Amino acid sequence: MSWTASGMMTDTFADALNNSIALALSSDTINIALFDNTTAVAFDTASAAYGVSPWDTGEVDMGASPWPAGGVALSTPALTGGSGNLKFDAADVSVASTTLAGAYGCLIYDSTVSSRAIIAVYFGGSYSTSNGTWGITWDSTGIAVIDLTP
Amino acid sequence: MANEFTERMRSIGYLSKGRSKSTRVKEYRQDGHRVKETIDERNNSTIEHDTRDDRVDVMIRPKVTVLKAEVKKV
Repeated sequence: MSWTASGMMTDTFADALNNSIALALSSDTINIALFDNTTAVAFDTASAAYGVSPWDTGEVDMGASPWPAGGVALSTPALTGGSGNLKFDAADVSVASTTLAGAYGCLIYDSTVSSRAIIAVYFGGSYSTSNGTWGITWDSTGIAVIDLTP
Repeated sequence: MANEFTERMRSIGYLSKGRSKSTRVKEYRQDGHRVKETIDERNNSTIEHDTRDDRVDVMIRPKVTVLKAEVKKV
């Protein structure tokens, strides 16, 4: 399956809540890596992680700064609770002087904890830059929200 | 006979079925050069600069990913 939707990695959250991995989403280094439409996007992969199938195929990067393989770190990632929701958010992304071709989505992963995959965000189509700025303006309500009191 | 140009002008600003939500294009100047911004139906922008290096920027605006918990009766 290629990109069709955004979602969270079920096994990562199960492992975190079972105390099998020590995720600290507000203090770990959280990276964002871009992927094209050849990636077999899946949300239920056991121990899903960047660099491990399916996230070892189709990465879009420049091989070096400013957008190396593995992507860039998100600024001020934060997991917070309130209003019945669990919210993950971070500062918007803006990386200048990039040449990146054909990104369909991004993987947000914890590079501090075995590069465990957290969230995959689908852009809705193919996007490219040329000597330009790659920007992502996250939704005002956050990158991802789990509604615990539906 | 109606002036064709006048008739065309009268139609500007009125869309009988509302504004289109499909691709929109804006052109403006930025830092002394021309810029063409194409905003697609997902509200993502591709921004082409009229510069020597043919700079192209992208601005992605993804919607929040929402997951809902559910308590099921068995």
